[in-house]
Amino acid sequence: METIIKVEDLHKRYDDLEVLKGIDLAIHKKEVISLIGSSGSGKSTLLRSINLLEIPDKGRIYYHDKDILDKSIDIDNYRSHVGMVFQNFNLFNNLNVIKNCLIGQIKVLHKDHKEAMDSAVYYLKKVGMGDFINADVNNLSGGQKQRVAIARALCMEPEVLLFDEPTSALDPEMVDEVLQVIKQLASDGLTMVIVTHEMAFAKDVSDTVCFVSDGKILEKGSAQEFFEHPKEERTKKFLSRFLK
Amino acid sequence: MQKTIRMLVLVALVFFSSLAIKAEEDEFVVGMECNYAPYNWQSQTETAYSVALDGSGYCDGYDVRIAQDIADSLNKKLVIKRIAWDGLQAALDSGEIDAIIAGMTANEDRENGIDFTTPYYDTDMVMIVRKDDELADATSINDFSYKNVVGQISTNYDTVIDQIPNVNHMTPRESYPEMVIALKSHEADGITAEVPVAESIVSANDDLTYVTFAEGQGFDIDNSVSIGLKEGSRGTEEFIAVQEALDNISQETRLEYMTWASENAPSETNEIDGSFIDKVITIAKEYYPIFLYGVYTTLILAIVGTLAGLLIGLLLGTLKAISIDPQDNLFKRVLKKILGLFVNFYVWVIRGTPMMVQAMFVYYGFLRPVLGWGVMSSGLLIISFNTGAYMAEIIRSGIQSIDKGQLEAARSLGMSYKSAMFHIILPQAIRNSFPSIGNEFIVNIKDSSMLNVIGVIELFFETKSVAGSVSLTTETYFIAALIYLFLTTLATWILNYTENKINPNNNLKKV
Ligand SMILES: Nc1ncnc2c1ncn2[C@@H]1O[C@H](COP(=O)(O)OP(=O)(O)OP(=O)(O)O)[C@@H](O)[C@H]1O
Ligand SMILES: [Mg+2]
Repeated sequence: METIIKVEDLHKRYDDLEVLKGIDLAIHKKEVISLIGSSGSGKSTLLRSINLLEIPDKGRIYYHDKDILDKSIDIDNYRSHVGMVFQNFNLFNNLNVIKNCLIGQIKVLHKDHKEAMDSAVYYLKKVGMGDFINADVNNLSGGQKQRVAIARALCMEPEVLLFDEPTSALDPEMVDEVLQVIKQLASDGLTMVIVTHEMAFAKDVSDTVCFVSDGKILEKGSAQEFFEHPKEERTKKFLSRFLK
Repeated sequence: MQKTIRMLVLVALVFFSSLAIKAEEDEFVVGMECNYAPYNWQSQTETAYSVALDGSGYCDGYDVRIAQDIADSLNKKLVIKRIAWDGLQAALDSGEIDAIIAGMTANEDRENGIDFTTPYYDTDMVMIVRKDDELADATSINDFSYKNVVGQISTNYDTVIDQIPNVNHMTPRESYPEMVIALKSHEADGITAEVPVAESIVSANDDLTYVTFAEGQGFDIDNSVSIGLKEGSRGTEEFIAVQEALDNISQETRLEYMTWASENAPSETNEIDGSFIDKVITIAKEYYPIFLYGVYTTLILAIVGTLAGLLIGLLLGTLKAISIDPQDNLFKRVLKKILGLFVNFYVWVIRGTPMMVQAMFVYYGFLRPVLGWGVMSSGLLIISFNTGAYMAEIIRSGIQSIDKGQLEAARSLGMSYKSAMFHIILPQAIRNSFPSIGNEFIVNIKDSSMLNVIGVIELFFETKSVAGSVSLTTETYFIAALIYLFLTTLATWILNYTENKINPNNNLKKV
């Protein structure tokens, strides 16, 4: 299988705190990877490093065999191929729903307005927000905001979409509408890396599950294998907390 | 956002092009105070010889008649610009006016920056005193030893006072009406003046008289007044033409003009009577065009100052808010650091000193001597850069109050830092800071009054000159207070309305 992004021996520290202690991870085309692990283990930092919102101290990140930590790489161009969906949505507050979906296409991909409009409407419909095109983002519910944020990312037609706890800031009754959208994307064959605490969802949607613990990927496997036959003690302990 | 920026840039362009306006070819533009009877004064009624001023009544007097005769000889249309005494030379330097005909005496200092014609009037220097004072019989300047003597600021009338032995040389005043009040209230015992001025004051004030000094007992001073033309113009065609035109006005004509001027100079002091409210109404009725002109200038200063200041603030505030990116190379890091230090220094200086001091320093130290700018353009520049420092702080804190997720989301789409700043962060920063930005406008309506120190004819300046003319300080400033209150209230109302339009959500939260 074709590898899109390859992370090698990634290290990151904030002052005295070493958060990533050597991460190796390959993201293959059409693969859905879930990152799970306890709070503070470094999942967000890993995801943000892949998008270069954090600059790693050591290690390599290859995108189609190009080292994107190399100074000569156009980071903005790289980022336009790697979308990100945030826990707190981060919709642009000064723009309405459709403009949130247009701005990247126009300012980064330099599409003309008509073309950008077509794909914005297409993706908003796909996430079930077709009726809210001209709505003010501040008037939407959390679940609606997150679906618009997903549409915004999809409009860039990214090769990989990164999700950092996309449902953690939502009221429980809205979690499902967002998870449904992500499942749909998975069955469409979109490559995704998802940080989540929703174990059932992770088991259902993922090809590969990684357990992040103390800045390392402690255990990695196919979804079924990982959830049904975890190998490591720490993984078992972590999973037991989520058993009903 | 782009629209807003484009509009701001347009305003800035209009502002800077207005600085470049020069006197037109077929006009003879003359500067004077219009507050120095009988040479020149301002009135609300037209006379056979008066010339309309830009937006505030008419200017009349001896200087106007002389200027008219010269303009006629030159075959040009006479235009009179009312300019504060201290601003006359700058206006001449910048080309805003062609000549100063303002009862100005040529002395060594002024010869350095102005080329003077031969005198167009010559008189003795006398002293205005109270009729019932023993000094009414004085014959020598020595009689004024140990007395309080006052003269007009920045003139010979002030400097000559030191020729009186052991005199109590009072702080000079801006105008004669102010000094008349001081004399009548026994604060001063004598006012230095020249004969035509003294004549006109005495005829308007029954309780005053003036004393002339015996031969050799008076001030040692040249009291003639001359026309001032731009430095370096001596010998040019223009200079010679003006000098010739002046030579063609005979001594008889000059005397006739001065007699006419002394008789027609306004004699206001005793006119306004009645209760406080009556006086206020009379002053408002009589001088409303002057107040209106002041309002006009004040609003121009406040509006241009706030918009240009916002533009400066956007630039500096953004510079201040940008952080050093770990990916920046050394050059970028150093540049950001230096720019940041520069902005901090600028904001520190501007916010740490009064605008009045900034105005004096920049106008007299740079704009006037080096660039030859007039008072209005200087005033606009000063208020803009002053506001810019406050705006920089407002914009900086506006930017920093935006959740950093907004920038991260924009960057994650592949937008550059600049693009994210321009399309996402700044629009939100401006919208959130709108109340503070609007507040700067209110502040500017009031603080533009400080620019009167360099002679910008705004509302406070006009109030001062009206108060001087009518010798009624409280009543006149009461009118000014009402006008300022009206302007700030109106502005607040408009700003609140706009705020409701652009930030409806903020208000919902407040409820
Ligand atoms: N900018 C930062 N400066 C300093 N410390 C940070 C910073 N960002 C994260 N950390 C610390 O790094 C550690 C790992 O953080 P990270 O956000 O990657 O954890 P996480 O696995 O995503 O946890 P959670 O499940 O709570 O989101 C935490 O201890 C956190 O406090
Ligand atoms: Mg996290």
